[in-house]
Amino acid sequence: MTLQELLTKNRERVVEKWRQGIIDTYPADGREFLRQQDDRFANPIGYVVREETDRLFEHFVKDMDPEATRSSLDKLIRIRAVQDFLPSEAVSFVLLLKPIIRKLLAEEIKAHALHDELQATEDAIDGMQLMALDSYTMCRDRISEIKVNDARRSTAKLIERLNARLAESPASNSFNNADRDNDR
Amino acid sequence: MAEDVKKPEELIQIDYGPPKRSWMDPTVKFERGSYNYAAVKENQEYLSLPYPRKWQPYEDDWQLPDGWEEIIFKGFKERLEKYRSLRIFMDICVRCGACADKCHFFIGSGDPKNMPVLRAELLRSVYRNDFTTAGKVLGKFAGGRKLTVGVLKEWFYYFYQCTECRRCSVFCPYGIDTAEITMMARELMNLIGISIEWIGTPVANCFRTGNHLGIQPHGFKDSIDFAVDELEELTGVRVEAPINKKGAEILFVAPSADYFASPHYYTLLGYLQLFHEIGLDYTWSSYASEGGNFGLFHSAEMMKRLNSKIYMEAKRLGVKWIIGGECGHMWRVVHQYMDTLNGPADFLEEPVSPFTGTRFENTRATKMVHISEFTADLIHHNKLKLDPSRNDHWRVTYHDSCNPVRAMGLLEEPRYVINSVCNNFHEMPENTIREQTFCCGSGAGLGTDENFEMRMRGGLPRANAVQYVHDTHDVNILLCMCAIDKATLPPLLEYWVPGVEVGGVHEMVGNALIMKGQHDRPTDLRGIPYKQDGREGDDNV
Repeated sequence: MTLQELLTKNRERVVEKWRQGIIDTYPADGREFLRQQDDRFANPIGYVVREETDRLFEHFVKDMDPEATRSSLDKLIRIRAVQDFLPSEAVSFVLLLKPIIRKLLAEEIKAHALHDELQATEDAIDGMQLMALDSYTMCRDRISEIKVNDARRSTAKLIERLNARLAESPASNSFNNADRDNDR
Repeated sequence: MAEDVKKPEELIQIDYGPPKRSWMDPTVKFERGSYNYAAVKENQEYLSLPYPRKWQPYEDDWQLPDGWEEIIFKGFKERLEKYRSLRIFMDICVRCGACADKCHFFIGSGDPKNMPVLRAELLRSVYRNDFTTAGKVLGKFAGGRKLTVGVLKEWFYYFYQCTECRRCSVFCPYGIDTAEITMMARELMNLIGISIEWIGTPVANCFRTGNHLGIQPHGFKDSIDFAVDELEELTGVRVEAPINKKGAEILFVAPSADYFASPHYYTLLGYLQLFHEIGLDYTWSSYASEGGNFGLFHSAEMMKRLNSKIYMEAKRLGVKWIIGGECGHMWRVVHQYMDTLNGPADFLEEPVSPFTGTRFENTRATKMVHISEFTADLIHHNKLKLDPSRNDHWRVTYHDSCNPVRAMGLLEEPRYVINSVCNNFHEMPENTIREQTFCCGSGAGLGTDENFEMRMRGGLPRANAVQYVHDTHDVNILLCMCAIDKATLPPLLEYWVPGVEVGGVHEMVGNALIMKGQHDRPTDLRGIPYKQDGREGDDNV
């Protein structure tokens, strides 16, 4: 038996433990709701955790398809990037897979002498962890961009009007970044 | 050294869960992105509010005035005597938990103190300790807590993480209005000079010039004139937009963002087109130049002060009745508080549509009609020439803004209008619309830059439902009828559901409205060109 076969056979158990580990990163009194409310619209965090851990694990065992892995990680991390987590706390749920696999499947790994494969699997988890870091950074960059866009939008028409006014008067300069850059 | 290095197994033996604590122990960390800046001293002074000072929530010392506990105790006592509802809300909750998982901030953060029941307990525990016999004798065992600086900081943190949207109240078997609990907690904090900048500044501006941004009358006129010019370019029709016209039949009041921010502005263009096309005898007011009332988020007194300008202007201009634009909490104030705050508006007439003869009996007390009621009535009586295919480039969904839907029951009128002016309308899932609508996550003064992460959490349930219709129906615009929504949903969707725009109901009306004397109108109100071979929008929509 290969480790891949072993992981496939135990998929439900491993993923369930993984989900529990992720939900446990939230305050205790809120965990029951996150775990038990099935409605995807009433409990988006729980839904994303449930769906995406399953998807991630499937790809992890099967082919590590980078696009699919990235997409699932992005959904999980997009949420965690705006919650009360340090950057390390937001992404380290990927690493949780290591002790879960090791503990849950310890006997079978030993019985089938799968330690070398386990090492390779853990390297793959490290790879996934790095992808998670990419996702987190992209989410935070996006937030910065959105804040800038938001500031522009909030006074969009005022600036436009001001520029129209300034354009009417001959000795004027508009409030335009490009123009300002040219002046320098 | 070498033996200090942990093995990989040891390194990952981390307890990722936050420490378990009793909710009774106040613990608040003011993390960046999850709180609002304190009210500015100058604005507090301008509004004659007590204890103006420079402070920030993240500082250890909030420079509380001497005897602040006594001030809050007296304020609490006064309000319990004045508002019977408050005493009932304090006493009646049986902690059944029906509201617990209904708050968007809890759903989006998992923080149990954002369960409405627990958030209210933050105040209720002090009530029990100070005002009930059991609490006075048994203290903590009867659920009582002494008001300490820690508790106060918790009040500030969590009562400014409530958008007063009242989704939780829909599920409360006792009908407890949780927003009013938040309002009372905020009032108590105001007594010792604790409020937030994004309430204090708009309120001070509003008090001075009539609108949140502090735009003066000439600036207001300039804005409206600019829109008239732009509308002429877009449609070929020069509309009239009278300001301060004495003796007009109707006063029109809209949120100020409609004339200075995007995408609100396109809704303003829609109003102007509509009023011109039907020949409405109306006027804008340069002082009632704001429908929004951030006083609601501050205190009953401030809400009253700001609401009064609308009725004072109606009186000064001698109008018969009022139409209100696509504003959110203005309607909570008008529909639920105005009559006892500044009423009766007996100098106005019961609104009757001059075009259809419809009597708006529901507005007998306030004399103020919501524009979607007015427009729905016009459409129902075939008073408008509409071409809904002019909105075919938009695949539309509709966000029920909290206050129009939950504070005044405006469910069908906006849908009727949208269905009359758009061909592609798709509802979001049932438990996310109508009475159960999810808040944008930024109302009640929380729509600030510094509170960004909290807003993204609070808006997750709404965005999640938008994502669903985006995925299943390729929806590309979310319509709404609230200026705060129009300001805060775009960044929310940029983060969670890129590719979905935000717009107003009357923007769609404006697009679809066929005007007498119009030119070809090759674009919609946003300037997006229609394709030559039909009404399909450009690819860059």
